[in-house]
Amino acid sequence: MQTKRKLTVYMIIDNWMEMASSSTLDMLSNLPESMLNNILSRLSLRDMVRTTVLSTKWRYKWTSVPHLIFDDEYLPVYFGPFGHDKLVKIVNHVLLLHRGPVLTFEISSSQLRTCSEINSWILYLSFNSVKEFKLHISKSERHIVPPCLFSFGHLIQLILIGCIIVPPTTFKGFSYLKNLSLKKVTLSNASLECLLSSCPWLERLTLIDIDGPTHVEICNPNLKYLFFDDKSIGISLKDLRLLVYANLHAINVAHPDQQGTCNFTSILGSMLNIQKLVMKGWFLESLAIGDVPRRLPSTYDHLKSISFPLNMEDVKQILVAVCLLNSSPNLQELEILLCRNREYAIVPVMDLQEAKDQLECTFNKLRVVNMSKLFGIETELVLIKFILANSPVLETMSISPAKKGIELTLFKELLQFKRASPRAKIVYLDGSDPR
Amino acid sequence: MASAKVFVLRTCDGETFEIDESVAYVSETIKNMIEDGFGHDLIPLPNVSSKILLKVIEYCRKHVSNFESSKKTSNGDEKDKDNDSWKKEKEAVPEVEKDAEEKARVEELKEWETTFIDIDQQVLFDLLQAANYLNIKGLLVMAAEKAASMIRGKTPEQIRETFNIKNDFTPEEYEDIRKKDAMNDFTPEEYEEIRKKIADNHFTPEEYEQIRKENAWAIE
Repeated sequence: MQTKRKLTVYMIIDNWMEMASSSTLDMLSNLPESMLNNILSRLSLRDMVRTTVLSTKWRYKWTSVPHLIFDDEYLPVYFGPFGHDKLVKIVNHVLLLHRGPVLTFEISSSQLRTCSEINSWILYLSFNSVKEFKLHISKSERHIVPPCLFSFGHLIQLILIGCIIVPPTTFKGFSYLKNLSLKKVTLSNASLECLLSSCPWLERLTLIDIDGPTHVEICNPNLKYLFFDDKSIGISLKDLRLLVYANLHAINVAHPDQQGTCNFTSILGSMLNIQKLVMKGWFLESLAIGDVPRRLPSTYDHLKSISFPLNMEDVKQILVAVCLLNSSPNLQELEILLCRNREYAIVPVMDLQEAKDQLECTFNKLRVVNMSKLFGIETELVLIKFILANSPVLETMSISPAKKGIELTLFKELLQFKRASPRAKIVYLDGSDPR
Repeated sequence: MASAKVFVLRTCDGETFEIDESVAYVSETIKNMIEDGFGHDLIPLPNVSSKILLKVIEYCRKHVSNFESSKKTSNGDEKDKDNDSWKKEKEAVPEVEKDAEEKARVEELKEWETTFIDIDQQVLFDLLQAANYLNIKGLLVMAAEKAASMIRGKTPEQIRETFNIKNDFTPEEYEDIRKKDAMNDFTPEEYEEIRKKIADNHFTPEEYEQIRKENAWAIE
C-alpha cells in the first residue's frame, strides 16, 4: 500500500517537473497570482502599471494588486497647472480598471487639491473592505471628508491630513482601528472624543495641529505610541499602561478624578512600560503642580530614552526632572533642552542645593547625553558634574551653548569634571548648529 | 527541559534532512504538521527539492538564533501579525536608538541577507515558492523584495530581457496600450531630464510636440 502511494506521488512530481522545465525560461509570468501580487505591490504604482505592456498575459496582471498608493514618490510629479487634473485622470483610470479588493488606498500627491472626485473615490472604496486609508491635502483648503468614509468597517489604519472631519450621527466607530493619525484637521470637540472613545484597539495615535478641540482625553487601554503636538490643547492621559513611546507637546491637564495629588504621579505614574518619553513646550512645567515626590512608587524599568525642556532656575521643574531621573534606573539616552525664564532670576541657593541632593540615582546604563542651550549658570554645571561622575558607561556627552561668548570658560570647567566612565567623550556643538 | 527534538524532512527528490525543533518551527507549515502529530515519521515535502531545502534550512538556522536574541530586546512591538508582509517599514515606528551591540548585530544580519539572496533567477523563484509553501514569512518577504528590485525602474524592454518574457503584441496593439494604459514610458532618469528641461525651457519645438502627443490622453 505504502509503496503504491509513493510511486503515484513520484509520478505526479515527475510530470510537474517536466512541465516546469519547459517554461523555466519565463518564470515570472507563471507565478501564482498571490505571489505576483506580493512582488508587484512592492513597486511604485508607475512601475506596476507599466507591466501592462510586457505581454498579452501581463495586460491585466497589475489590476488585482490590492495596494494602491498615489504619492509624489510613486507617481511622476506632473508639472504646471494641469498637475491636479492629470492626477485625477490617473486615479480614475486605475480605479476603473482595478478588480478585486482594495486593501490599501493612499493618496498624498502634492498636486492634489480638494475636489468632488475625491468623494467619488471614497464612495467606490466604501464597497471594498479597505483596511488602510490615507488622504493628504496640502495644496488647497481643507477637504470635507464625506460621510461614507465612516462606513469603512474594516479600517485598521486611518491617516487624514488637511481635512475637515464631521462624522455622521449614525457613526458607531471604527471597531478594528489600530492606527489613527490626524494632522492639520478641523473637527469639533465632540467629534474627536467620539473618534477616540470608539476605538478600543487603538495602538498608535498621532494628533498634530488640530483645529477645534480645546481639550482631549486619551485613555485607550491598548495604546502603545502616542504623538501629540498642539500646544493650544489641554490633554489628560489616563491609564496608558501599555504605552511604549510618548511625544507630548501640549498643555497638561490632570484628569478630573486625579485632582489634588501630584500631577506627575497621576499623569505619568501609570505608564510603566514606557521606553521613550519626549516632552516639549510647557508639558514638564505643568507636571510640577502638587507635591513632587523624590521618586515614583514604581520605577520605569523599560525607560531607555528621555528628552525634555528644563528651566534650571525653577525649583519645581528641577524636582520633577530629578524625580523622573530617579525613577529611570535603566536610562540609556538623555536629552535636556535648557531654557530660561527671566522671572526666576534670583533663586535661593538653599532650594537648589536641596533639589540637587534629591538626585540619588546612578546612571548605570546611560550612554548618550545631550544638553543644549547652556547658559553657563551654576545649576547646569552641578547637574553635568553629577552626571559625569555617576555614569559608568557613558560614551558621549554633547553640549551646545545658548549664545556665543560663554563657550571657552564653560568648556574648560567641564573638562575638569571627574568622569566615571573611561570612554566618556565631551563633544562641543557649535551654537550655530541647526538643532 | 526536554532534549532538543529532531525532525526529518524528505524532499521531492528523495533526500532526507535532519533539523532541530527550533529550526523546524521557523516554518509555520512544518510547525502545524508537527503539532498535528505528523512529526514521528519523515515529514514529506513533495514541493521542495533538496537544493532549495538546503537554502531554506540555512535561512531558518540563521533566524532561530535571531528570534531568540530579539525576544530579549523586544520593545513590546509585536511584528505585524496581519498580512502586512508587503509593506517595507513605511510608517516609521519611533524606536530607541540601539546600542552598539544591537547595531552590529543588525548590520551583520543585513550583510548576511544580501549575500544569501544573491542567487540566480531559477533559485530565486524556487525559493519564493518554497517559502510560500512552507509559510516562512521573513524568507518570503526577502525573496519577493529581491524579485521586485529586479523590476523596479526598468523599461518594459529591460524587464522582458531580464525575465525572458516574449512580447506577443502586434505593433498597433502595443502602441495603443502604451499610450492609454501604461501612463508613460519614461524611466525616472528620463523624466527628471524632461522636468529640468521644461523648467529651463530647453525644448526644441519638435521635442515639445512629441511629448505633448505622447501624453495626449492625459492632457486633453
